[in-house]
Amino acid sequence: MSGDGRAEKTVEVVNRAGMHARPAAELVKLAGTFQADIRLEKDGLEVNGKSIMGVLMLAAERGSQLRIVAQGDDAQDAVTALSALVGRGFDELEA
Amino acid sequence: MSIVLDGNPASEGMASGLVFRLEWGVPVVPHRSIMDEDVEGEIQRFHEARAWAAERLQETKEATERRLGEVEARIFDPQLLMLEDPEVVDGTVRYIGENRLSAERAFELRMLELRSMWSRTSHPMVLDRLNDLEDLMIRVLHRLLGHNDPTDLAALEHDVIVVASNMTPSLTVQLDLDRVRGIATDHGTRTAHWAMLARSLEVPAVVGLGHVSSVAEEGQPAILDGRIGRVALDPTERERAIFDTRQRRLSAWEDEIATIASMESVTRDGQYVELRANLDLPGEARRAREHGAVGVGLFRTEFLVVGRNTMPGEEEQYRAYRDVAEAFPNGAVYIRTFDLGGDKFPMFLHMPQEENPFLGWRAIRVCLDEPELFRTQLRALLRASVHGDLRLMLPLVNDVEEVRQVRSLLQEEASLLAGEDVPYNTGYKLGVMIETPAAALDAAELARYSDFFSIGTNDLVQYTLAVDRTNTRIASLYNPFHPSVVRQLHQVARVGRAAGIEVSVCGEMAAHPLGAFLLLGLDITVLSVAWPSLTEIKKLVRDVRMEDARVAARKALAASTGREVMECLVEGLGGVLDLEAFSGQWSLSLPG
Repeated sequence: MSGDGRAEKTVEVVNRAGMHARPAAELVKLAGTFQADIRLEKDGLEVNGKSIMGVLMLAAERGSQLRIVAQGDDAQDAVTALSALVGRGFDELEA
Repeated sequence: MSIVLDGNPASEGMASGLVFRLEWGVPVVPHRSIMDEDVEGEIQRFHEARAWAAERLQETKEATERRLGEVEARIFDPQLLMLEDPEVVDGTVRYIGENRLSAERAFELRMLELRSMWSRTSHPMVLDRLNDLEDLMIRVLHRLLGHNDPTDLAALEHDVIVVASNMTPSLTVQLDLDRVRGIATDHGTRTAHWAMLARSLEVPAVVGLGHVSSVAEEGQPAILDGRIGRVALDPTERERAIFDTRQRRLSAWEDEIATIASMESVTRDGQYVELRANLDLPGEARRAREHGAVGVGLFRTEFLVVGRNTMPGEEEQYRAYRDVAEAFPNGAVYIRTFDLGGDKFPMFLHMPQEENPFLGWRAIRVCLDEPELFRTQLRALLRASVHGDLRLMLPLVNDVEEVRQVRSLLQEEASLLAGEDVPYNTGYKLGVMIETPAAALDAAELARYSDFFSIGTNDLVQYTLAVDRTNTRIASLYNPFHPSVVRQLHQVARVGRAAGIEVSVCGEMAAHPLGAFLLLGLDITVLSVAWPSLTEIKKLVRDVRMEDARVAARKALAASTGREVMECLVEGLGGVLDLEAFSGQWSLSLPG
């Protein structure tokens, strides 16, 4: 993609239900707001972070380690924003 | 020749209309290559189909939001996102351009590829979304192939009964309520997410009919009785007359519901019979009260989890339980703790695939293994107990150890609440459902730890006879009047009386005239039925004498076959009631 900035960070999925449909949708929507190319990786499986089909395929449960890699001008901002979303449990209210 | 099929009631009510076969499957896509100059046009066609599907989904989503609320409307979100997904869109466009494929063929290939990638992970979280993926394929492909939308009923000018192999939540909420009078399916269960939606929409439905989708013909007249779980195709004049009479009578009762609701529920010889309602959703409480229920004998709580991605919070549960308790200020409300497993899989629990789900991890077993889920429910129940006479009921209990464990969990949660100064009713009641032969035979032990018994006849019959009632091949073996069942009912009633605790019945047996008559004869005078059956059972109660019921039950206890049991009951009823409408339910032929 554009630019040669690169950033990455590994975060843990903390919400109880894991990255099911709604959180996956939130993540994809947020990823779509950045220029950078965004890849997510879990247990050796790598997918496009801007694709709901890809992100759902990760089946990331609570406790899984998720590596976020961004490539492009706003790579650092993208990684910061996305890892914050995962880190706060996708704002799901826990019982 | 008419065809009469018996399945399970999923949404009460009666309906008549012409068969509308809903074939919701991926269409066959013929292979078609295109010329270089057609590439742009095919890409345009694909984008047009996407835009059409998005618009239609958006409309349906908004209609669902108006009818059922924002939470239910979210079931369409994954499909809307998939329509914009780069993996889907770019992949399809690439296949059109690089491989010179028609739009439908390129889209189909791309979706099949994605589906096989998903299937490989075999994670329940992913598998659950496969339905969305398939729904979307069906929508877009029909559009690209120039077919009509399979759910589009706009062209129809008459009332229809929708016939399908099975339904999905999104299909159910898309149905045109001006046209659809009922739903009949081969598969599915009462607690499937779509069946709950059908109940909220007050569309009658019968499930588990086995092969209705292969025998029903498009446009064929059909009648559907969602109370007893029966569908008749091409009904004979006689069947039509029975249906019409029954429907007329029911709607006449419906007209004078206020009068009937206020009538006393007392037998001719003066025995009071307490009639309560079974509820699946809090919203049904009002209907139940209108129909004369004095309390709620079974409030199923699975609506809080089925089809949900997240655990229901304490606050949400508390409000649901409180609302039902407050709807019955003068009556008891029996709330059954989560009856999960078997055929009810919440997404967040990651239920394993089991060889024998009905003999597997379900009901109280799940609750005791999932303390986070169960404790939250217990806390919400304790808190709601200050708003009425609320009682806790445990499903599928086999032995006292399970009840003891729940009691100590309750004590812990109660003292935590006390520490936080949160009010709860210290005199809360805890009882068990008698649903297995183990519980029935061990009733005397269970009675020492329980404040009441509620007999769940559906499971008790299934487990006693080792007959899976959803297996159409052996459906005729499912006989609630089998002598082994009658003896267990008798035994549980006697033990309950001796222990001084209440014994009630909340299974389908209580809603069947013969079943209700038998139960009265066994001195079980607390019955809980789905609210639409309340008037019918009250009429029965007012028409019979307790003494006749006892005599019939005594004879039934000495009978050696299910048929003999029924003969005793029919004789005892002595023509009080026209049983014809019930003939054939559970594949039983009534002795003439």
